[in-house]
Parts: sequence; C-alpha cells; structure tokens
Amino acid sequence: MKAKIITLLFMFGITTQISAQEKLITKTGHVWFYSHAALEDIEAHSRQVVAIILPDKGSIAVAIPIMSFEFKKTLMQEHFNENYMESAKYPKAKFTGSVNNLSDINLKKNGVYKTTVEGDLTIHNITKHVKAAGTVEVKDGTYAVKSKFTVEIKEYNIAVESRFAQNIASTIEINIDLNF
Amino acid sequence: MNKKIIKYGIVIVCLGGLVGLGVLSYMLFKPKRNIATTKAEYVLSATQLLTEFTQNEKAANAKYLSMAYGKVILVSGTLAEITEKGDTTLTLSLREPANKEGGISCSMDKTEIAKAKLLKVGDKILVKGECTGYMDITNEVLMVKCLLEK
Repeated sequence: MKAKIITLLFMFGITTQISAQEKLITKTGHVWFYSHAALEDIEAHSRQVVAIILPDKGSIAVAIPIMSFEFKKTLMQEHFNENYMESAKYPKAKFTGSVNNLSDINLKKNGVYKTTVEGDLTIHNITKHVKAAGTVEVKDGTYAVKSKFTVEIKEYNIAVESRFAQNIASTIEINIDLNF
Repeated sequence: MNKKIIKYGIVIVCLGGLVGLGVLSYMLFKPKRNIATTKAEYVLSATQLLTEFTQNEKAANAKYLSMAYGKVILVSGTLAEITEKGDTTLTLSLREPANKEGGISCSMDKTEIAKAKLLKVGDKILVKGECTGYMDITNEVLMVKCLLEK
C-alpha cells in the first residue's frame, strides 16, 4: 500500500514535470537588420531563425544561421559573410536569456504584453550581456514575439575598413519577429 | 602633334570610363548564385549529413560552408513535416521515421513552394540547396534556397 502511494506520488511528480517542460518552438523566425550610413542603407533578412521558449521558466533560446541572411546586392552578402562575420568559422549567432516580467504575461488571455528580455548574445564568437524591450502578442493560443534593439559592431570585434566607413553604420538596428 | 595627343587622351579617358562603369555595374548588379545551374558538391542522405554535424560540428562546418556561401548539396530523405508561414516561407523537414527529433530543415525557394505543397509526409524526396549550418537547440542541419529535385 505504502509503495503504491509512493509510486502514485512519484508518477504525479513526473507528469507535472512534463507539463512544466512544455516548450514553444519556431524554425521560421524572421530576423532582419538595417545599417543607415551616410552613403548607403543596407538591409538583410533571414527567415530561418530557430527559437525555443519555455513559458513556465520564462527562458528563451534563439539561434540565427548567419549564411541565411539575404541582401539585395550579391557582393554585399559575400562581403558580409567573408570579411565581417567570418560565417564559415562562426556560422550562427545565439541568444540565451530570460523574460524579466514573466508574471505580467498571461498566455491564456489575448492581448499585447510589453516585456524585456535579458541574456547573453553571441555574434562573431563574442558574447555580451544584453537587454532588449519587446512585445508578446497573445491571440487565441498563438504567440507573436517582437523586439527591436541595436548592436555596436565593434563590440563584436567586427572591423570595417576605413574606405567603407561611409557605407556601413557603426550601430546596426536588429529586428526580431517570432511566431509560435 | 598636339591634336594627336588630345585624340588619344580622349580615347583613353573614354575607355577608362567604360571599364569603370563595367566594374561599378558588376558591383551593383552581380547576379545571385543560381542553385539550379550550380553543381552539387556533395550528394548524401539526410541521416549521413546530420551524423556528420552531430559528431563533429567544426569539421562539418569546414566541409559544407565556404567563405561567402554555404556549399550546394543534394540531400535525400523522408519528408516528416511541412511548415508554411504566409505565402513566402515553406520549410520541409527531413527525418527518418525512427527518430523523434532532429533532421534536415529545408527552406524552399519561392519558385518551389507550389510544388512543395503537393508533397505528403512520408514521401521520399531529393532536395538541392545551400547548407547554412547546424542548430544544436533543435538538432537540425539547415538548408536555404532549396529546390525539389524529386
């Protein structure tokens, strides 16, 4: 009898653990960035962003394949991969972090919730602690996560030749759009 | 004599201008790489490709990514999932039925979406595209600009 109760308790423990591990996954996240410089505006898009959110813990992991970014100009894309991001050596950018105001977001109630996310961003093999504001839109069981923030390229050890200083901004604006 | 110099001068300046224009237009309008006409550097199964990345990601990156682009590869496998997002994004996931997770995720070229929509889970397919690396959080190798070869 005792053993049975213990087994039952144990099983109950396991089932709650499973539900607590429910995760949201997207493999078609959209990330795009802008560089506004004196001579040129540059824009590139990736629609192959992978993201996993554990709602109960409020943890979030994002991985971006650098070679999936598409530019309007082919030569720009080649320079981006070869000279600046060294994509063959460092093929992905990563973010792992957590949602700061988890209790303010009710995933069961439709609405747009403001949030801030904090964590480690790795680009070009350099990891920095970052904080970004964003929104979560809950709509009938689907979740749209959006954020916009900026990065200083020199913080990630990306060196732009002086002859391109007028073409490439030192601060890049990054937009994230994930649908679960 | 002076007239000759001026004449040659003008010709040289004009030629220089033409070359400059050529270089400029190449820089601005260099055509995108055409996957259909690019020969696949590796032909292999989805399982084989995934195994290479899970066993040694660094070595696989060196093998399947070149400096400016991912290399064009031809991958065969079983279709496990079709993910559509809007009208412009469609992803085919290749995974062997015995496995629960992991596989190859192929982001289809826009021109292939209509064709890809007709596929069914379980179909044996052959996909040609550019490899963009491995995502450890989902245990998937990614490909972009994919064309359906079979």
